[in-house]
Amino acid sequence: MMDIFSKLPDFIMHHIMSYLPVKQVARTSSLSKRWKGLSESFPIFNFRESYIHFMGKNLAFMNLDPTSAFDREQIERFHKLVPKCINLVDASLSHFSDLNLRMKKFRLMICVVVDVQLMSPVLEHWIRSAFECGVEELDLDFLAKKDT
Amino acid sequence: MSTPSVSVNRVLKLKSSDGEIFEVKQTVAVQSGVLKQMMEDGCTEGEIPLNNVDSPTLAKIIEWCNKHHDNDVEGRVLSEEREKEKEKEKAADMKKWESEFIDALNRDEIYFLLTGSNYMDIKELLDCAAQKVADMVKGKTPEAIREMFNIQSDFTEEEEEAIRKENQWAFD
Repeated sequence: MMDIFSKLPDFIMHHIMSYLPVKQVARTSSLSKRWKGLSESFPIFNFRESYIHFMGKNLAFMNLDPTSAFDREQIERFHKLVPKCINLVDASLSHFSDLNLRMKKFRLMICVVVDVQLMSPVLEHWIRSAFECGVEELDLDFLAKKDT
Repeated sequence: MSTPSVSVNRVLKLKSSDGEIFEVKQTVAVQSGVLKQMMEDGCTEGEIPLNNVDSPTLAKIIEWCNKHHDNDVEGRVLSEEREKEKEKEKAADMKKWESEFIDALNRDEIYFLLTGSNYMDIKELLDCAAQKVADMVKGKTPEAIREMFNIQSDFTEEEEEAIRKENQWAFD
């Protein structure tokens, strides 16, 4: 049996990878040198699953209520993770500009239970960076809380 | 004028890399960006050589395009009748057919389907096959993926360890 992946052109490989969750794309870099190169030149910036990654699946889409002690604890827990999350996006974006990679897609999904005022300059910076990388397609998804 | 002269009854003769001739209705062939362009340019007389697609792959590609074409035609009739429920049902049937179509292929056949649909510029089929391969990879450990696709690691143990450390967040 042949290793079909070693023969497919990079752009088809990237197309296949575009159907994978962001974590799985990162994991494929340990498969072989070919795969490491493919994930380094992967032209899609995807920050879709990471919110779930930080919050845990059960909490990610729950409507958190700041008056409940349990929810407040979760919100605080999330706030502590925000800098980590911002750093991860920043690092990934600078990887694009460092390598002079053209970005095909920029996918970002954030549930803004965090401070909108704090986040908006950050978001602005990210989107500007994406444009500087020549992004062709923006896919932004913000779930803001009603009362903020 | 470059109006495409697509007619229901006209057929194109496609010649695979191993010399087999396949007849395809023009209305089906438009799904291929390459063939569509050729029709628009009016250069589809005689046999059209597809040098990068062998006959088993071309047969598969045509089967897929025929099914999609039939589905689209029926779909149009249905939506005119506003039978939304039936439409949904049909979409589900199509999804099922597609996944069975791809499931029946072995790795090598998927490889040729990917390269063939890319060569003929049939975006939906390329997407469908790419999604399938991604599904096969999804949720698997690097070891399982290597075994499944016969990938030889060319890293030393230390190199692999270093990459895993670097991507620790993804392995948690």
